[in-house]
Amino acid sequence: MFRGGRGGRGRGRGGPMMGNRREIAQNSVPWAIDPKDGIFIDGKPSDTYPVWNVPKPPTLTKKEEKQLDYFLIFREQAHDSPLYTEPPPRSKDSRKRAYGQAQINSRYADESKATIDPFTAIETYSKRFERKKRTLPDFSNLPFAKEFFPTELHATLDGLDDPSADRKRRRTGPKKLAVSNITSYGAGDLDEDGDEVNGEPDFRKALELLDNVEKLDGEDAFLSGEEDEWGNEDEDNEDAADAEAADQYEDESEDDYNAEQYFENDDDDYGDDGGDDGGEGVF
Amino acid sequence: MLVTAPLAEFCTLTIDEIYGELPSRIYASLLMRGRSTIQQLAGDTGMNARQLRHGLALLLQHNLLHYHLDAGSPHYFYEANVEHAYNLARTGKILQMVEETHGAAAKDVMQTIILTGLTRVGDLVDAYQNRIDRMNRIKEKLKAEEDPFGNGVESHEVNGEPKPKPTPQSSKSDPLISSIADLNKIIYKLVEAELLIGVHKTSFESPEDLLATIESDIQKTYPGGEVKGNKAKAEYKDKVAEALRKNRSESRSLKRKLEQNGLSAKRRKLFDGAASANVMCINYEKCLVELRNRRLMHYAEEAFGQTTSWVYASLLNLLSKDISRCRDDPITDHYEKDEEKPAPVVVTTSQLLDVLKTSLDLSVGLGQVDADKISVTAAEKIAELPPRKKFFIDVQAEADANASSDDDDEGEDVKPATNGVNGVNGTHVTNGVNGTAKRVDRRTQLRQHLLLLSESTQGFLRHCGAEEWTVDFVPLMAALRQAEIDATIENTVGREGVRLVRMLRAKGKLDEKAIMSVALMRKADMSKKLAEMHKYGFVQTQEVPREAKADVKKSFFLWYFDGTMALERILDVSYKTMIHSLQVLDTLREKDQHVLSLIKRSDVKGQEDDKLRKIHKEKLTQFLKLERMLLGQIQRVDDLVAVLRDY
Repeated sequence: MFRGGRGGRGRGRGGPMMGNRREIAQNSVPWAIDPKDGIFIDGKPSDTYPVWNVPKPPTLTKKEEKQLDYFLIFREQAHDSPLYTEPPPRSKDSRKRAYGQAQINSRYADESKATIDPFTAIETYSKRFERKKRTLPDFSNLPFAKEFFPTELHATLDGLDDPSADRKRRRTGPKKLAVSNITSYGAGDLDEDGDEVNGEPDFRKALELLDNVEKLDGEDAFLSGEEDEWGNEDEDNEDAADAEAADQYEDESEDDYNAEQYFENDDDDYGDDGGDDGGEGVF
Repeated sequence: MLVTAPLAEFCTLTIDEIYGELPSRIYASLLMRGRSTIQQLAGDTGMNARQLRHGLALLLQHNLLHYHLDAGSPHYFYEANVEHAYNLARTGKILQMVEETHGAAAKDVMQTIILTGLTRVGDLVDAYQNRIDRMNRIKEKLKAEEDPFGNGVESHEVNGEPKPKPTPQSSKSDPLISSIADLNKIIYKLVEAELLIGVHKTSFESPEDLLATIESDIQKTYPGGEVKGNKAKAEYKDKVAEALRKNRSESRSLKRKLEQNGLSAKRRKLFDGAASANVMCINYEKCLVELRNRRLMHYAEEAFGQTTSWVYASLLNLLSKDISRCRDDPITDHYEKDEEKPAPVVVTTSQLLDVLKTSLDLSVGLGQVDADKISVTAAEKIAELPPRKKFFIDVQAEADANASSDDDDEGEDVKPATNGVNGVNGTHVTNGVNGTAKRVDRRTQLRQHLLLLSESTQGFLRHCGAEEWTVDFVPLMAALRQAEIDATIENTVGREGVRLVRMLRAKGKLDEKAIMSVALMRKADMSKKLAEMHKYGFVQTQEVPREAKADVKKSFFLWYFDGTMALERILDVSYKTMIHSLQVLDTLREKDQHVLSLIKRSDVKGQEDDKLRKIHKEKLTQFLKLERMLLGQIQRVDDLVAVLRDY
């Protein structure tokens, strides 16, 4: 019996037995009408694992490598800036398909007592070395061209957009722009060939290293993390160092991301900051 | 730029990649809902006003938003600036380009400015001053400790001098920018090249808002606020265009200011006074022009070889000094009268000869045969066909770098198609014999390269006047776009596919049978190929019924190729590829999260080799390798997108 072969064996075969895929193809595509050399439609089921020819891109050229290096270092510098906001770790199901804006929004607010990982949530010594995660950009120490910003954002740029700012000491330091010191991305040491990633002279790397040494001079400063990478660059300034220490202290008490208060202070803080102690919203 | 869903998602992911989650969430909402106020954003994203204010300020600082305030309204409207967000992904390319043209120090400054966003000149100078001071301090300290680390940093005399003179031995370990005078020079250079522009009052208006404001202002000048009659309408259009151009030129005020007192002696003190209050940011439009030059050079290299492409690159560099953007805006660059149109920029052979490096051997790349032989045959060939155009020799234009307008008008009349014949002119070659013999030789060789370029089918160059050359970017880029589309089709469906597409492009809409007779292919093969291409969106079909009663069996099915649709389809797939790369990267990051969080720790950073365990090191190396591959892929795809959409 002829099965699974060519379509277009004539037009009179439209019986109920043949109401299958071939038949539909026969009528709907114009070339199938031609009985002699109509298109060959294969009725066989396809392989479970068909051979998939994955095209492989050629390796990057030298120029592209360089462009990529520059991009990576730029990204690293951006991540080091006080304006970078790092998301809290997500739970696994945040990647599920979301229907509607409400569900998308709910993905970003799933930090609560219930979702804390008990294995990592306990304060340990090594936590001191971890990078501080910011949930809001810190504008207080950077200069801005405020004349180009809408007036409703001016307070934010001054670092005053904080409901608890009146009661507590404001965290504004000297407004200064700083040049980032980051010159490498990833593990520069792990590079086998040993050339500088960004092709710049090794001076800046030495600078980075020396930076660390300078910090070692004051052990506290070193332990406080990398807060002084930007903004406060002149270590001579005693006041700045003091302020830094005070800030550090404040940071402990007034954490930007205080999960426990999430439910207690669920309302957004449009203007009202009274009522709850330490009442900063959690985002 | 048409903002499709994949493009919007890519922009959001790019912002997330670079600036973090908070701004990217706001950006996604702005792209989704269009312009919104803070209150609307709060309703949409579920964030509170404080978060939104922070996010918006951050986005504005990096020039990723437009905002608008209607007169009398208390609410600011924010809108996404998709061009800038997309260009963030090109940062690596832009930095590499700046380094290539202006040096590593300029790249450093550029990087700082992109990183900061809107930068006040004074702040930038302060920041660098700070760093210079700090480095001097460190150097002194280092000197005192006599290099206890032995990491190869050479200490040398600085003593807090404002400008330490680097000795040849120590120059390698010197900082890129060692004095404020250097910095000023670099800023000047970048502003002069228009890679940096000043920020002005209307910089943040979206094009639509700007147009609306200008239009309503001009409408008020007409009686009754209405523009009536054809003549008045044309005049009105002209006025709007002029106002828009005036607004555009405002961003160049910084450049003008610098040019006024641009003497090199004054440069050092340039930013001491009022100029340091200027705010500047990166000019992506001009960056794209520069990137386009590189791309064109790459094409020329593929077509003719390296030497010719270097000649072409120098020519493009000269040309693009006066080109501010890749594509003209239809409203802003509308001119009622043709005479008002700015003259196309022209480069003369002598100009080009002056800028070409003497180390460049022009005899290379003209074929394996003797260079003399070729030049002789070329000259002879042209001497036989003296075209009409070659006889107008405007001496003034030769001397004047910015050619006079009459000459350009003539030049415009020359159609690119006739260039091949109108190129080499024997008399001109002999005319040029004024200098030494070697110089003439070089000049002739240069002309050979230029003629080669102008004879190309793609139309790389146009010999627009005696010894004058110009590039018609619009047809050239159209040709290259088509070539890219063809290449994509070939890679997707094979050579027969491109063949069919070319046929359809030449013939228009064709019926199956007609294609069969033209293509000389078996019907089965052809139908299969066409169906495949239809699936990918490269070709389209149109059904034309034979009778009033549309019967599918009797209808004609016409196949055709629509360039715009194919282009949009390819762009769409490109965006999706880039999105996919970023998503895969995100997943990889999640997978190796513990290692990645480890290398961010302050006690591990910089000493990964000592502090990491072997298994972690391996994982990290693997992750970095994959990350490079994914981001490299994005850059490659972006090359294609740039040609198809931006150049």
